[in-house]
Amino acid sequence: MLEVFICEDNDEQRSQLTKYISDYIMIENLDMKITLSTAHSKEVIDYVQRNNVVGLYFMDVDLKEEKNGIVTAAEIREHDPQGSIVFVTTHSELTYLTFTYKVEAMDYISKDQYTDLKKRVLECVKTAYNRYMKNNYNNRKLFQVKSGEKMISVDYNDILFFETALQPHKLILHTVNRQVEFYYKLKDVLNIDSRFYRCHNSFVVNKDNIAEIDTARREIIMINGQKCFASNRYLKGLKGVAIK
Amino acid sequence: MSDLMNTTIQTITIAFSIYILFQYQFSKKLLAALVLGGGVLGYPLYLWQGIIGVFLLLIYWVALIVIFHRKVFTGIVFPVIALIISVMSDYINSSMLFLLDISIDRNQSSLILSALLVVNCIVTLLLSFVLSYLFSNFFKQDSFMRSYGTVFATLSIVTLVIFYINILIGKQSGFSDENIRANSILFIFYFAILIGVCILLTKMIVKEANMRNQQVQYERLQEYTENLEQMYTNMQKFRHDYINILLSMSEYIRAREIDKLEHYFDNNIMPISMHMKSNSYKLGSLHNLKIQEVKGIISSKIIKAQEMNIDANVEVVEPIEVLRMDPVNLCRCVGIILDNAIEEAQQCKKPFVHVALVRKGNSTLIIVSNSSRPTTPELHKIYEKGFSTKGPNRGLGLNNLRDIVASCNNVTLDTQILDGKFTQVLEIAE
Repeated sequence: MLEVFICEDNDEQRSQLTKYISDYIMIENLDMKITLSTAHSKEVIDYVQRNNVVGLYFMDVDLKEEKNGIVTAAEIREHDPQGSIVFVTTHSELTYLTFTYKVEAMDYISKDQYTDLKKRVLECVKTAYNRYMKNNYNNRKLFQVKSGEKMISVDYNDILFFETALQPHKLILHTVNRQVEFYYKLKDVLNIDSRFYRCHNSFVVNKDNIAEIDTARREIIMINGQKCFASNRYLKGLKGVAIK
Repeated sequence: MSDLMNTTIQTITIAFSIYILFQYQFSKKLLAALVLGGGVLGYPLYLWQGIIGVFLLLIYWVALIVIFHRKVFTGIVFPVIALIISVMSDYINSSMLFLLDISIDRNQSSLILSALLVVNCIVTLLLSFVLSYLFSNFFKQDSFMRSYGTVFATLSIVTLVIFYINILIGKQSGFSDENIRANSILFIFYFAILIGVCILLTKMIVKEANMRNQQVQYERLQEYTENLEQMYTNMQKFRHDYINILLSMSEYIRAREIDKLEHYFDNNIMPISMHMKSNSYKLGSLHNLKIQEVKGIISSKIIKAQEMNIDANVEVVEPIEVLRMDPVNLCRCVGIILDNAIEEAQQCKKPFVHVALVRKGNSTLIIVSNSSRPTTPELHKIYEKGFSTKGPNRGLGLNNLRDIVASCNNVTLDTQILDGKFTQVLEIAE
């Protein structure tokens, strides 16, 4: 059951939001319910603290309280790491990056475009619901690691290789569309999955994403053309690798 | 105590000196080539050409470093300096012996002679450490090395030549004790003055670099202030219009003229709300960023982006007062990231550059997200040294970024291309 929380201090807007969502849940017969619809963020936080919740939260950023909506959402996020947070705000796009990175918000809705409001709200409900259902039957393997304040979450299938950065204790994870630095030990990576193979002192490669192995130059060419190095010692272990 | 041992150990020591001066940055292979080459070639060259043979060895070392370490200026200067240090330590040694009233000649027991050799090497290495430390600060200002670099290079080479001419002359006249004494004093004096001049020059260069930075900083803050003043004027205007509009609307309401009210609302309120979205407000949250240099560079680049019709804005929701990163490096990183973002965005149909500074737990994230063409090159290509869509001889920016981030142990970089958006996140831990 995906629980919905609405936090908005303007009474008309709050009842409007609540109505849109509850109607939609009923019509589409979704496994969801509106747990709380309130003007006070404290109620939402208390509830989340006392219960084990996976929720969909509609937060007004400009609540006229001491704590602003973003800080409240950060607290909610601490108790519900998987929930979907949607910000409803008058500031247009002015803080969407902050929402995304500070709180991992799913989306934001701008009150400025009031003609679209209902459509946007329902889109969010649908997305959150789909996400919730997918997570329950999830068999996608994710490489998850906390580095500093970030949670890095990458599908195993997307990982090309890991490389030691010039800094000690830092690694760089390469995927086709991403290069992210994080604190980790190269040898710990090997213990995670059998497809990760140490091909060089400074590289651990994902065998599933190798396109070609150039033994003369001792280079491994990945499916996107990116190259990483292999050393003589470890090249032999790659002989049996099925080339994509 | 054979000459062979003597020259070989000295040349090996000089090779290590060079390694120290370079702050241990050589690959193991290069170090081995320098040391072994020095050891093997030292004695034969000495036999062949006498003391001048060492210059040929010098050329060998310089060539190795220039070719394999790829640094021309330091590749020439540091070996020369290492050689000078070696000569210096020799003279320091003889001065010490003279002061302690010990007289050495070649017939002394080999034990004492080897002890002397060891002392010589130790002094050479010590001097290298000292100079290496002095130089380490200087070489952070690498863009100014080019201007003063030739001065240093010439000074060092001239010094070395003078030293050796003197040695040669001394050799002609037979290396009497007096001769050696005089030489020692002369050289130590000269060396001291030289070091003094170098330190002064270094200080001047650093000062000049700082002044240039300050100037740029100042200009950026000027821009920022102008932007603020513009915003203030706009706000005044808005206040004025707002009061008028409320007045008109209250009139319509009082007279219950709803249609006219609706018409008035559509024609007057909507345009104002559009106006409020204007560019000057998009920098508004920068007031939360208390670090002046970063504020300056962000506002300056965003304003430029706005002038290029790129939708550019900045988010700083919470106050950010301190970042644990050296301001010069921080500004360079932010500058490179923003430049790249703006250049890529310019080429898109719907250009945008969004910047955010977010406090998360014990770190601060600096996020730059820009629109990206579907035909934009792949991520790993973009980071390749020398790769650039703008033509040859460019493409060092992102590579430099990587290097700077690598030199800070509390900073990480996350680059991602997703759904037509190119995002860079710089995380600075406390």
